Amino acid sequence: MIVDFTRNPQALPGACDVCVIGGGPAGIVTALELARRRPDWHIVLLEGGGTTMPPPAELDPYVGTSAGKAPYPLSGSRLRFLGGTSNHWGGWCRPFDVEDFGPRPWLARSEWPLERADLEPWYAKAAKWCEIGSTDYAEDSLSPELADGILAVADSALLCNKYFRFSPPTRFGRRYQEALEQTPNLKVLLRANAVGLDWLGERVDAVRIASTQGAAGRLKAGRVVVALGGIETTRFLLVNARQAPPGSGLGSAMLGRCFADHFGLTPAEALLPAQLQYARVEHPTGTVMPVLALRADAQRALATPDFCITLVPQPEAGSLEPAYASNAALGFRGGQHWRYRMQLICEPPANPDNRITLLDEVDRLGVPRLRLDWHVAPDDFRASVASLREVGAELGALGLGRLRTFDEAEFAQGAPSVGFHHLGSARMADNAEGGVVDARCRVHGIENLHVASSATFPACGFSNPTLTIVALAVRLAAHLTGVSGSQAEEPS
Amino acid sequence: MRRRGFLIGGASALLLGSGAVWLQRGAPWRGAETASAVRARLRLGDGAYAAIRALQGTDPIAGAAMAAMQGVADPAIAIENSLIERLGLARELDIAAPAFDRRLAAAIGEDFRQARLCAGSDWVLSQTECEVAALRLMVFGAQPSVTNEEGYAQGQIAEIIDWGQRETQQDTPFNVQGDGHSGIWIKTRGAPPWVRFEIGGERVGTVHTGDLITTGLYGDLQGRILSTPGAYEVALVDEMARIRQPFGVFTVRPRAARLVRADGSVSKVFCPVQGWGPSAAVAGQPANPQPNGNEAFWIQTACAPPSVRAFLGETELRTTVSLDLVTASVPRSRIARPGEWMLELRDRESGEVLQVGRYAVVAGPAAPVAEAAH
Repeated sequence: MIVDFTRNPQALPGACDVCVIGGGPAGIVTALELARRRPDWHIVLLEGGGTTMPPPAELDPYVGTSAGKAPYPLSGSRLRFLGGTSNHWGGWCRPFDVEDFGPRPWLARSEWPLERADLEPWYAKAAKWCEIGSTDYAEDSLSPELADGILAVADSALLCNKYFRFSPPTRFGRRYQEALEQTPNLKVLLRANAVGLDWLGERVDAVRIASTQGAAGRLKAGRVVVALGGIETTRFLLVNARQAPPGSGLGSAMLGRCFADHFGLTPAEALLPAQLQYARVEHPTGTVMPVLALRADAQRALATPDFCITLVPQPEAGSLEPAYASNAALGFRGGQHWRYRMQLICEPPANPDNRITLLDEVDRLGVPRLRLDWHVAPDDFRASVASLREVGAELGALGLGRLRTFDEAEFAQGAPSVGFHHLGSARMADNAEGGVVDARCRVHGIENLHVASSATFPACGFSNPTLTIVALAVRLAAHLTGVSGSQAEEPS
Repeated sequence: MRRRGFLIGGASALLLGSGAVWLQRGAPWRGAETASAVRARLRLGDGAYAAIRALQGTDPIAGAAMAAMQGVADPAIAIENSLIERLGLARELDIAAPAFDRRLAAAIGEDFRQARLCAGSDWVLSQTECEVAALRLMVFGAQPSVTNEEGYAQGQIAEIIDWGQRETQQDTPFNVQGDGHSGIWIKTRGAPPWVRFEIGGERVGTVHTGDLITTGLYGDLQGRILSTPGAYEVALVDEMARIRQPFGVFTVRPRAARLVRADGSVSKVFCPVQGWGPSAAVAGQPANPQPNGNEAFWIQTACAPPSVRAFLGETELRTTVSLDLVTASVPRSRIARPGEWMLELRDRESGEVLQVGRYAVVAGPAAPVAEAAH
């Protein structure tokens, strides 16, 4: 059932087994998985917006302050209506790599308290929720069909080809609206904003709810899942930290810290075989997009964060022309070559100074607005760019091409592009000193408060986060209900 | 066909590339010694120098090795000696060109493997590679520089299956996207991902999603095109192969006359309604039924902004705005009972309202008693 709380405040039940706060991909998947696994439970999903793009006034809670050398585009990629940011998602999907989960001693604070293998079955379920036809991302199985359009790096010790897949993209609100309406033990309240938590000892007792039209209420909940997106989740947790039990994850010094986003740079160009297609291409198993990346051993040896490279053909004249690659005497293998710009999507290091804090000013719901301090420092990308010089030497040794890095003052002079992936500010860690939630996404020290959000990611490779968000949401639902994956229904 | 223009070597060519810059600053032999005189003092035979001379496009990288020779009495001899040693040619000075090529390629590969790189170059190059480029420049002078001219051949890049939107009216954005640009889509088969869209001779941002290309009119270009009625050729452009494929024309029609209201004021957004319907229906029986059972209205007008919505009374209708037509649908349940309502177009942005006409729902014939009893 889907009800507009503003028009029907009486529809708010007095209590529920689980209250899921936030109707984006994480919240919708968590709510439906919970409801299907436990038909005896009553689940309530709170969505701050309606079912369509809200008028500007309803976006008021997203207004905040961004500080730093280059202000972060806070209003970008945050949609306050059912389906959340999936409503303008590009559909890029890729699980994080094994090495992204750590340990990586050369990267501070980059270790997950779980391994990729722990997520494997949940990635498979997430692929179904995201409507991806295949879960095969392996270079060995995908590269042969695409050999004409990718760099031949089988002999490379540094580079490999990795692959993204694509969701249609799934607009979770529209796609699963019927399921939300028809699941008997699930109630969705639209225009119902969670504005605070009430406590009973060391447990959350209830969620306080308000609409921008003045409706208000209180929902007792056996468990609460915060699934508000990578920025709003942290703001909500910070708002409730003052009343939280001492020593809990909400009291962690890491709450709000290490906000991160994938950032993009173009620090190099290369002379490589012509007609490489590092773009969306058709494969018998579906649409994929190849990218170049460092092999795990190379990341370790060169002490780099994870990153990937796309190649963009350059028609303009440059300092080294394609004709140069016609010289077999210089080690080139032959064939036409092009110049390509090398665009990097970089894993952001976990920097505690990149931080979400609360301001004294409140929004129209009475909730404190946020301030985000964020910047990309040269040290965040220098190791990655330096590793490109090693890649260049290897390209030369293999006869594949030549590579040129640009002057840092040239490629890093403006603000880097961002992925609008809001990550890391309610980190997952083994204890409350290191983070906010544990490996099962439960807030440390609070038995019935959980988080389903990319805010929990302590490290993020270069892959877009949605698939991992959904995988963790399904896993959380399984943990909360005690019902394993095989007993749950598939998305419908 | 790709066209090439040649800039002939000589004084102007010497200005190209960092190596040539070094030459201008004063190589020891420059001015005092011709290239052939330099060649005469070198040890490697004609086979090696034939191979070196055949190298293409090496001038831009010559500078790094030449710069490293600052202060060396005879850089050409120093570099040649280095090459002889690295390629193992001390006893094979008269090596044939193909064999020299193989030795050179092997030495360059080994340089890369041993991290023996050319210092001072932003390109990652082997030391041998830079040195042979410098030697070539010193012995044979600057190479003709190959430059691409701006010409594009007309040809087939991809099959165009369909595209849109193909026309609009002056000052009327269309298919407006989140950032305000007017969106154009092209369904293709076989378009390489680097192909770009061109309209009126200007290339614009192009996104490939499989066989669908999305592009449009952005920023100043949107303002310029939409403000100027005319026909704008649209094309795909492969800048790498230098091929251009025109596939149609985008038309901006002159602005239609705006509605003059009864009080003499002129609407900023609406044109007169040229026709509309249906104006009446029998209760529960749409006059213009759609497959889903809804009633559908059509309103013919030469202009209506994308932000317009149709209202039946105070009920907002699902509205579609195209160039000459606004369509809107109302659920069958809304016309289940007799009544009469004003059909209006309301523009969300300007707040202007255009009253289209009254729509009446009349009672249907009374059902026979016996039938009604069942």
